[in-house]
Amino acid sequence: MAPTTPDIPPVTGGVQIFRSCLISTEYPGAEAATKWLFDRFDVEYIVNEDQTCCTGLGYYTDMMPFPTTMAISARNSCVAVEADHPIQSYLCSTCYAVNKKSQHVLAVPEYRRSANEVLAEIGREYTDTVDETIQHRHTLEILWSRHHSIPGLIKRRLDGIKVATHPACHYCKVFPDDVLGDPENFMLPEDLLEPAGVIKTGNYNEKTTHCGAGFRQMFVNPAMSQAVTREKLKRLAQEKIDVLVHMCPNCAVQFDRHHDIISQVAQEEYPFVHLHVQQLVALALGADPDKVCGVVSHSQDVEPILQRIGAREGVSV
Amino acid sequence: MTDKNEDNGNPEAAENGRSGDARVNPYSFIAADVFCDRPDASNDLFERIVNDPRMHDHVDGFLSCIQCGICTSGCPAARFSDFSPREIARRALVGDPTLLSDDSLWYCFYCYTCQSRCPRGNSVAVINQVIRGMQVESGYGVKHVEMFAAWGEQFYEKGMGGTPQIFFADIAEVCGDKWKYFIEHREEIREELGLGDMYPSKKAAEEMQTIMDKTGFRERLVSIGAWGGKDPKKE
Repeated sequence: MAPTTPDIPPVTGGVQIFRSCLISTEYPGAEAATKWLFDRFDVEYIVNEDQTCCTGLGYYTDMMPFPTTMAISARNSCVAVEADHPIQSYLCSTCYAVNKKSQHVLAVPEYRRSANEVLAEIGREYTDTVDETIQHRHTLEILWSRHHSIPGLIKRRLDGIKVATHPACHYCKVFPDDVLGDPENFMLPEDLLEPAGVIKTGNYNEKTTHCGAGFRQMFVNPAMSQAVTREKLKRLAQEKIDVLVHMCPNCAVQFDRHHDIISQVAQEEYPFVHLHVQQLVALALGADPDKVCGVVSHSQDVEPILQRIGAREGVSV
Repeated sequence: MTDKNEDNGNPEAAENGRSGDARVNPYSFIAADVFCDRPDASNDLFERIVNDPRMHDHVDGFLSCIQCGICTSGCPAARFSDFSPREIARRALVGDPTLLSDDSLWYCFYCYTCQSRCPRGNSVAVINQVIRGMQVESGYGVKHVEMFAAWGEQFYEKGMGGTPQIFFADIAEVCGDKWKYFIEHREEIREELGLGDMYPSKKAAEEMQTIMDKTGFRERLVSIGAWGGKDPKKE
């Protein structure tokens, strides 16, 4: 299957890896793998301790009023521009959508005024310059812009490994016109992995179905939340995949951490594992599964896959 | 030619001395309430939705909803419950005040499938966000968010989220020992991965707190039961 993701010029100009609360607390290996890949792709980046949470969880559990979320997003944009690294590289799709949505609303003079009244209290201002300079990019877009580097860097082949994409809703559906590719059949992750020899799944029934996390739902309505997840797991088992690749830790937590309980309750087997896209790409390029990809944080046992691709033998780069 | 006083199956009209079919609503037999005014229609609700900053990109779509149902065909909540985005859109358009005490819209997953597929550009996901916010403000919806109050406190104090701590026990039961091990050793694992402190800088957390205070988040937290319902900055 030839890649369908459109080529884009290399994203350059100072990247700030936007730390995600769920990546930090649940899958820190996705952040470490991103940095490791950026180093190899010559992406100039910083991690900024002055960047705060995007507030996605607080906002989408309906606790936080939108003006709070928007003002915090405006502040984070000011911080990135001030640090001369205005290309936000989001590890989490919720962070991506929350910040892009805030930018859309901040484009309206009346709402920008109200946000700036609040920012004035901390000596900041979301100006036209900030608005025109800040860029909200999903990390996968930045990696895709350097995908031509991948073939030359492959250390471990992934031939015979069948992967499928779980397309994060907050990347594909909040701003579908800005998706790199087809929001109804998102292929970037598989296109990124193609040079390493993966078997691509492409489209599958339920591909566009939500993961089931639903922010509050996974905690408050677990039966319904997991019923949704089960539809995907069941369908993907029929596709006989080895790895489901993720682009958002909300989805990764939902799938990876609930995979076993759903399997138990539904009395069905779903013989595959979950990895963030960056983790699998990094593994193909020779990264250490523990020191770079942090596989210990995964609930589904990735050891068999690591053995298959030779990631448990030899020295890691 | 009918006699003026003849009862054409309409005794009322006949009583008034008029021909049976002169003043009768010919549609009244269909359903008594279909053509009545909704005496308690809420213009406020409609206006709040239409004027919300988040609806800025979706107002035209909202106003031109054709009730096609594409929103509902892809909705994960509609698949497993009685929730229907199409119904929410219809009720919002007529300002149905029962939306302000409707529990079904709390099933929405905020997946935005409805928004991405609406041929008009409407967003029931956003409409739900607006109405849920109104429900929380009015007090009715507090029961749907108060379970997250302790997490909100943690967020306010540290400037960062994460899996809400109060759910840890449930999650540990579901996820088992492997996850518990990871959480217990998370700091060393992060260090081994070359990652720094996961919390924002003190300065950033302070700036964030100022924002949260000025935009009413601290008050909101108190209203849903954080800090035992006592504002920590008013003591």
